[in-house]
Amino acid sequence: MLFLFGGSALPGCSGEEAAVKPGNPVPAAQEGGPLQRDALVIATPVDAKDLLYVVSQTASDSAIIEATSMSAMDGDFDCKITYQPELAASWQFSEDGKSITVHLRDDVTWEDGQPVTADDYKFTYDLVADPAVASPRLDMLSHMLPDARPRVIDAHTVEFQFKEAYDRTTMLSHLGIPFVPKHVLDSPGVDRASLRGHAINATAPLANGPWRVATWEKNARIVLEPNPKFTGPKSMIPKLKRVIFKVIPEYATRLLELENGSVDLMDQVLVADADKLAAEHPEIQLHRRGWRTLDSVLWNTIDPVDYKAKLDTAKPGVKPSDVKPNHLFGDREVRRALASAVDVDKLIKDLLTSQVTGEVYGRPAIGTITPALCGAHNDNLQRLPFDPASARTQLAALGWTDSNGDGWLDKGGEVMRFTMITNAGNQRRAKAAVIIQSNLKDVGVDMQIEQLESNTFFERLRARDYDAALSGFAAGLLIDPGAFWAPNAEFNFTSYRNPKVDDLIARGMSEPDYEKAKPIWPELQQTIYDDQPFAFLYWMDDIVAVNSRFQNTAIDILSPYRRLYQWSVPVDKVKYQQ
Amino acid sequence: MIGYFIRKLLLAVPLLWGVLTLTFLLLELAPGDASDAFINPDMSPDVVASVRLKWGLDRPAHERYFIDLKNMASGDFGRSITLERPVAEVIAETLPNTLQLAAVSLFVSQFFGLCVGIAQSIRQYSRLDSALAIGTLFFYSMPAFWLALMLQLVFCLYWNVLPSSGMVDAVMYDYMTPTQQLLDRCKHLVLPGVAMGLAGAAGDARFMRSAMLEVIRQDYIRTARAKGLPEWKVIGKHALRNALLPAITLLGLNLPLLFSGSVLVEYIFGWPGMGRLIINAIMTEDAPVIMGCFFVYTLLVVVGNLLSDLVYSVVDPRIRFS
Repeated sequence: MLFLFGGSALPGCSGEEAAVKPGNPVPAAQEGGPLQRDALVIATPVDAKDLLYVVSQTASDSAIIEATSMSAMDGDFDCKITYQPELAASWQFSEDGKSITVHLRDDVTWEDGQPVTADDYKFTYDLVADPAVASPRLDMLSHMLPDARPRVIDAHTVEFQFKEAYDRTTMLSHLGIPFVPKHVLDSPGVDRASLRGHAINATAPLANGPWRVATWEKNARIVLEPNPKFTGPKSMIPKLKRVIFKVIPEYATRLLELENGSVDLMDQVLVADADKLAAEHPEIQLHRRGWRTLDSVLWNTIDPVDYKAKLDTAKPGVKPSDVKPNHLFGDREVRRALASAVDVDKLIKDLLTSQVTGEVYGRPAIGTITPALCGAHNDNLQRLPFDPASARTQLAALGWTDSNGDGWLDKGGEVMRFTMITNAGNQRRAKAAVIIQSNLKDVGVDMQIEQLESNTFFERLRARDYDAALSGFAAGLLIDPGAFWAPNAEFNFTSYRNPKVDDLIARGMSEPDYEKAKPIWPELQQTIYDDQPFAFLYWMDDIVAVNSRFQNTAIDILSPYRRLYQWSVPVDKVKYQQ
Repeated sequence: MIGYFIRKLLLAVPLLWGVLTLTFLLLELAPGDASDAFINPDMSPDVVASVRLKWGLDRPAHERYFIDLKNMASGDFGRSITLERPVAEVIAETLPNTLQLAAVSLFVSQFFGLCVGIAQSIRQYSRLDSALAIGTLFFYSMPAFWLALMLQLVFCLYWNVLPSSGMVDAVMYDYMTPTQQLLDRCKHLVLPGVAMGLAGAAGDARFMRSAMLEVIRQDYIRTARAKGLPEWKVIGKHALRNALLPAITLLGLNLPLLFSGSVLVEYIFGWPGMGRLIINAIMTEDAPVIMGCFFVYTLLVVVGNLLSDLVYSVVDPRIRFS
């Protein structure tokens, strides 16, 4: 949902040319550059797939693109994202804040020697805009004027014009991207509809950044080596000789290779394993990245059966407001009562707390804006207390009582019973579902759990074909609550609607000054929290384990391995001489 | 004999048709389609619709079924929807890796199966026989994924003598001599090959034991012993060759299990083979890749069975195909 770091990738050279031949020396460091030594081996569960920025989607894609490409801008995070020059030397906003002029560096070239120019910059947006490309990044263009996205002024200057001014950081995020090489892709022989199959994307990317892809063995490993043709800033010349992304799908195998030293870095380490690593492997350091992922229970506010019937019979574009409310969760007070019945602190204690050190890797959630966005996150919001007795009282006030003494609440002959779906294969969520089930049983609510294969689960969410769902989300670091809460948003799985929320989102998103918009977001979170379309559970911290011989590491909320060019190893700790 | 093989190959056509039809039906029953991979909050619904149009996903199922069958019949596997590359090219990248692993596990399965089975049969009811029977039952009952994890724990963490993932040393391979590279590849084959082959070996051993026991009771074995042949010659030359026939049947039957078993083992050992290709394709509902992979698997099983028929006639010259 959010562009975090730059990266692009290019072709030009064939895979054969790009590969390091056995026995050949790795290209020497650039003249005057630092001495390069050692190798960093990163364990990754999935291979990269698309190395052209305009079609890339996965975290693995982003990691390689970021290393091999210079982006127009480079992001940093400290309570909010700020952008620094990278490929763009500078930029200025117009007085009305509706246009931005970007001046590019003139000393950067592609791996094949061609200069990186404003034409590449514009061409990247042309590809994103082309429906044939089916780019997942179309949203970048939604606020830009079609004839100025961007307008090329000269070889190294472009101007972007927007329909209206909005949050400046978000505006810059739509500009701070890596480029694609126009001189390779803008030719009659290139079919834009088949761009994902082009060599430059699928087998032999073309770099303009500090690293180049030396070897790409599909589903096995990607070897990066310093780009000998890199002409960017000297500070970006790599200090390591190689970075190797080793594809290991199985978590247990990744952990084992971290322990035996075959790999140097892995992320998403489980809390129990972090304890073991801390106790048995002094050579491994653990880092916490910050609050990026959230688990919640989604309450479907509309009736799934009626929604499907209306979809089947009515014209396309049926609105949630046309559908009957959900017999349980259409009622805000029921949702609030159930939220009081769920013990979030116990979930955090059981699932996200070290049993050895007591260190806590989770915190209660009150909305979809991450606590990492200090100021925007509502730190003062009072959570609904865990109070089963109060939950029972609230439900009784709504007519839900245990009239026949069977232990389950009922109303008008109907037992308070529903099914919560969740995706199979996630141990933490499976345990959380059982704890929630037990919590609800204590107040007389019969919740069944149904684990579904991931595709089926996602399909059921999209079709609003569920009553309750336990799901996870990765939060963006640019505030965009509309994706979850706007009435017709694709990802508004609960079909939640509240005019006040729509108004707050519109006001917040159209305010160019982040500081002025900040007070709007706590109010938005309070309003949504009061309505409880989600039972917000917890934010989770990602634990990254890395061998301690590496210095100047950049492990933060933006990425588990950022700015790989600055990573280094002291001479007395080098592991791989080659 | 050529006529026999041609007939067998022709019989594979309805088999392939059945497999492809079943695969197509299962894909149709699954929710969603490959266009789901293009869905995210920033993607316009129009773009998703154009993706469906481009790949013919908007057409009725029966139309797509006949188009797919026609393309397969003409040897055109089509293009992967998510990778935008020819399916044949994608399969060609992974098939050799899977075949390598299958060959090693087949060797492990057959070699250990035969050795243990023979040892048990010539020492029937001895302590060795009992110990090996318990051992084979242990490995036969053990799920392949658990065995794989245990092997990794012992050989890669406690002793750290064998690699636990990949086909080559991710760091040093590029700096090795060709001989070192060959050895490195062999080392990487050991654990996945053993994990895949050991359960088969246990089954083969039990099968081989009963086949050998059957044979060594025959009159011609008694005759061989009576005329003073050394025991190794009696077992190795006279008994084994006759006991091998059922084992060869088993080899043909084992092939499908070998390929289906490779999916899990490839996942655990990070082996870039067809098993992982299929998993990824299933997760993204990339129908052309799934159909192409099952087509190749079926073909491999058919060819494998033909080869085992061929081996029959080599082992027992009395067998003639007509």
